[in-house]
Amino acid sequence: MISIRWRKVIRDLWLNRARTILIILTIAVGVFAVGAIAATQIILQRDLPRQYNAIDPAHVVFTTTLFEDEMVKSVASLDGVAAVEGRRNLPVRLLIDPANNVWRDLFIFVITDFEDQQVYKIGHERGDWPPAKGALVMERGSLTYLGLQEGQAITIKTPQGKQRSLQITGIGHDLYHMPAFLEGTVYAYVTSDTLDWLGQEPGYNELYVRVTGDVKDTGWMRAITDEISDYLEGAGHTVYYTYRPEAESYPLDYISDTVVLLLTMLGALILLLGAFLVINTITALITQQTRQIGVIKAVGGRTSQVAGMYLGMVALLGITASLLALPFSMIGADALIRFVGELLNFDLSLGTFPPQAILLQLAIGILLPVLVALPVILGGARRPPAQALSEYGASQVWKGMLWMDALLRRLPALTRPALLALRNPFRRRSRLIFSLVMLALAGGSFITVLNLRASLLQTVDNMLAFWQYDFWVDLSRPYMVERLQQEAARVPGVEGLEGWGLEATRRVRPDGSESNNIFLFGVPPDSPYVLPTLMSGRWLEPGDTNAVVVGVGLINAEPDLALEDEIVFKINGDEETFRIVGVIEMLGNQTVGYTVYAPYDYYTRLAHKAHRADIAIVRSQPTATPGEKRIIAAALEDQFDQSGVGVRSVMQMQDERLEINAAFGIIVVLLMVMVTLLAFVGGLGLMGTMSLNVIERAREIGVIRAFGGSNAAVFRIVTLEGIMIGGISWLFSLLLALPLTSWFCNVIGLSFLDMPLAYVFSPTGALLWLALVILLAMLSSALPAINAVRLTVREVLSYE
Amino acid sequence: MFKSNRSTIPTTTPDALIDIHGVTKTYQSDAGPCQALKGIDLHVRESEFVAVVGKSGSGKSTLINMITGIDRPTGGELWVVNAPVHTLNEGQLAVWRGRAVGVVFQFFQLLPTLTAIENVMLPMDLSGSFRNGERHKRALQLLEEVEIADQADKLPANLSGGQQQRVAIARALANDPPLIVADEPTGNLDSRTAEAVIALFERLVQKGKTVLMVTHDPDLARRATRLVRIADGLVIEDSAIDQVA
Ligand SMILES: Nc1ncnc2c1ncn2[C@@H]1O[C@H](COP(=O)(O)OP(=O)(O)O)[C@@H](O)[C@H]1O
Ligand SMILES: [Mg+2]
Repeated sequence: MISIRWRKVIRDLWLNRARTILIILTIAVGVFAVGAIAATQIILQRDLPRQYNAIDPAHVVFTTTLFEDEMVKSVASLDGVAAVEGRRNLPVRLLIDPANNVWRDLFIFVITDFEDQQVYKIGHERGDWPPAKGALVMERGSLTYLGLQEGQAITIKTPQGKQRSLQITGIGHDLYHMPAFLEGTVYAYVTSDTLDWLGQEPGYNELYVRVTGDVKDTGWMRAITDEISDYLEGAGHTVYYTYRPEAESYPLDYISDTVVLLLTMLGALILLLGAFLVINTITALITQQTRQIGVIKAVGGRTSQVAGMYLGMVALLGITASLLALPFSMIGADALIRFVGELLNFDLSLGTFPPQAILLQLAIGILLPVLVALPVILGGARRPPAQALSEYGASQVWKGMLWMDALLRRLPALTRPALLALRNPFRRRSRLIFSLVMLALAGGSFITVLNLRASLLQTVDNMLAFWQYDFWVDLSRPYMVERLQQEAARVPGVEGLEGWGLEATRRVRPDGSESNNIFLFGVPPDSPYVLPTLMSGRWLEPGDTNAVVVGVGLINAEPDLALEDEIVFKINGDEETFRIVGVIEMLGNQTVGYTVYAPYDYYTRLAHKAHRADIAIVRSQPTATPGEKRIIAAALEDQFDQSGVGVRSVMQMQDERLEINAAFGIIVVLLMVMVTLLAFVGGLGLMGTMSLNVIERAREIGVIRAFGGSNAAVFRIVTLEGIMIGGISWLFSLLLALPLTSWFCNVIGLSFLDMPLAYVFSPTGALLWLALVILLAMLSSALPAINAVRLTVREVLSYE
Repeated sequence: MFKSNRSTIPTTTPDALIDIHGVTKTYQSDAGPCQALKGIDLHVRESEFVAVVGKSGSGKSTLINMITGIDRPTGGELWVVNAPVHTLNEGQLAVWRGRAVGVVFQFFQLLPTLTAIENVMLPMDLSGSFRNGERHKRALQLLEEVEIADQADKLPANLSGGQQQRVAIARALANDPPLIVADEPTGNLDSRTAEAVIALFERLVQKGKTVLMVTHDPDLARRATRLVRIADGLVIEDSAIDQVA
């Protein structure tokens, strides 16, 4: 038989079902969020690197002139080399719209032995492996991105302009390259037979090397890279680029890291809110039961017994909530993990729920509520019974209320009930402060998350605004700009063309080491085709010589650099010194590469290609639809083809836009999940706080009615009061959202883009929260009021 | 310390159940200090039925709270049921009160979410008296004594005021304390019900309990064996009452 004390605890919970459910839900949402987030983090941090490492990623990649198997073997035998693989990277054009003759890039990799890959292993999903001659394996992300089916035939155009049709007979999985939807680049794999069938010279142009020893030791990595470079060059090959991916990271970690960071912030916010809500509810409960506590002590209850009862109650609620939340957090974690996995082209799922996450959940679900409720409960339990039972003090009011009264009396238009409603919330100062803090926190985070979303979108817009052109054509060698412009003038729909220089270069650091690849654009300083968003310094000006403007990503990757510093680039084999005159907002990281901009004239003279262009920057007629822009680009490509201008690829800025949006989309989707959860928890908090306010004043409502107040008057008072508290909390939310948004913009921006996001305070979040607050405040005040008016005056006054 | 039976604890005046000397109480309020008790001496022996009377605000409740240890005196000494109440800390007070004093309030103060019988069992549960299995039986007996056993499983909200006060008295008797202290126990009851409550107290006194009761009603006060009148924080009259029964 359970003791009388526990019977009381359980019956109190049962008889106050609405409140009980509210607390359980609040704790459960917190436990759910924390569990799902912790499990997601654990799995992501475990499986992303694990799966990536399983493909045996290269430590160094060399891009060179064509070499043979012999070379691969001899590099493999060098000291310090663990594994080597040579591949041929063959960029071709893929026909995607035969009716309008529209092409896009396709990278075909030649794999010598599909069954025995050494480095950057491509996984076999299904179908033929290896593919037959004339057939290809398509990367799975690329396949869905292109909307193609296994078994379909595709038409490609080789660099020599020959068209061939190949059948997709197998599907592969490539974790090394960026997922197609993020970069817009698509990949396929063939055998050497097919390379030959495509009319290409045999040989590899990419060498992937895994080394022995400590890959985090930059000195060692530099030495082995140089050694292999020298070896290749000694054998007569030119090494165009070497690329060393950051050790122990994978290409998309900037996205997954940001996801994890956002989730952590979300978890922390929900916990904070939940803790406040628990404190608030328990405080109300203890206040409400003050007299009962006094009675229990008067009949021989010790402080420890009283505290034990209420702590036990909280623990019971916590256990129930945790048990309730556990299965949901598993479902949530699985969904979240799959979502991230799909976006990043990884095969991720929950598997077994990590035990650490369960422990964390139990700690958060049971210990945390008990801990936060402890001071309140001890305070209530320690209260001398005389105080608890005394009629004195019950009608004590906060001094602030008198001040409020004076203020309110100046508003003549207020009716008596309105006056009551407006001053009521000020009676209990600590309750009011708690309610406001809790509501402001919920609202502040809600508004912040929507601001963050607006900031992200604004940042994308700023970055995208840079490109005031529609597409650019990557030429097979530098051509005279004048000639390009003449050809372009013949293509209807082309409004203008500008010739730019482009070189994949690297920075030579003061210590002689080299950075990863940097794309240096030679841009006419007064070009109307760009609209940079400057973070510091200035854009290029006519008359500039060795000036460069750099994307912010580079400054972060090379932290010794700053505005006005000198920077040395390898241009055409020579080291050339530039001066940084400006920093612009531009997505840049080791995965997508860094960008810098130098004056066209100065750069082309250095590179010995004056008046020539590596890429053609093209703007189509402003009225052209996205579809028409593609067709115009295809027509220009055709025109260039026919006049003997070699085209390597055409880059549509609208695609670039989609890709950047896609990467941001992940973050935005997560933010919306955050908003929903926050609105839910915040809504619960709001309802709890409001209804507690009304329940606590059941007695007062009885008095109002005893003095002839109608039910309608009671309703007016409580709903007005709810709206009043909601409104005040909303103002605080706005204030709180100001610093919070700026903090989030910094943290998320730095994690994702290496720069703070553009600060946007969007009215959407503020207005949505206002609507939500008013609606919920009215509802949650009116519902308990219905109960209150149902009580007879005697019931209300005789006991609490 | 005060768990076991009272005869083992030495007292100053062995036959006195309540023995208080020069008790004062000063409340600190926003309006300044307020001296509610100005030096009370009171000696009550076993089996006395004491009625405390006086105007509203004279200090009756304050005195009662001193005796039950619900509040602490500002000065003076209180020996109640063999314990130096003025020296005990909150924890000791609770343990002592659970065994030594049964408290009855004006507004009954039953716990609203416990049934009548559970309310009666609560003090036993808190002080760990009687074996678990016995508590229910004993509570039922007590309810029978106050003639409300048929309502044992009802929640207080479903009982009338008089019924609630009977349950409250049964609860005060739960741990078989020698002293029952009641602050205006009939203040909220109609005269017939009040009469029944007093009759109950009389029966308890006959059985050897000591009852100290505050009341406004002179007729009810006359039913006690002794009358203590308080005015302005002082005892102004203390007299035996001739029972004209
Ligand atoms: N908690 C308190 N704080 C301040 N003053 C109090 C308190 N309790 C009682 N008093 C004051 O002490 C005096 C005696 O009160 P009380 O003992 O309740 O009187 P009675 O029970 O005889 O009506 C009164 O003047 C009352 O205002
Ligand atoms: Mg009184």
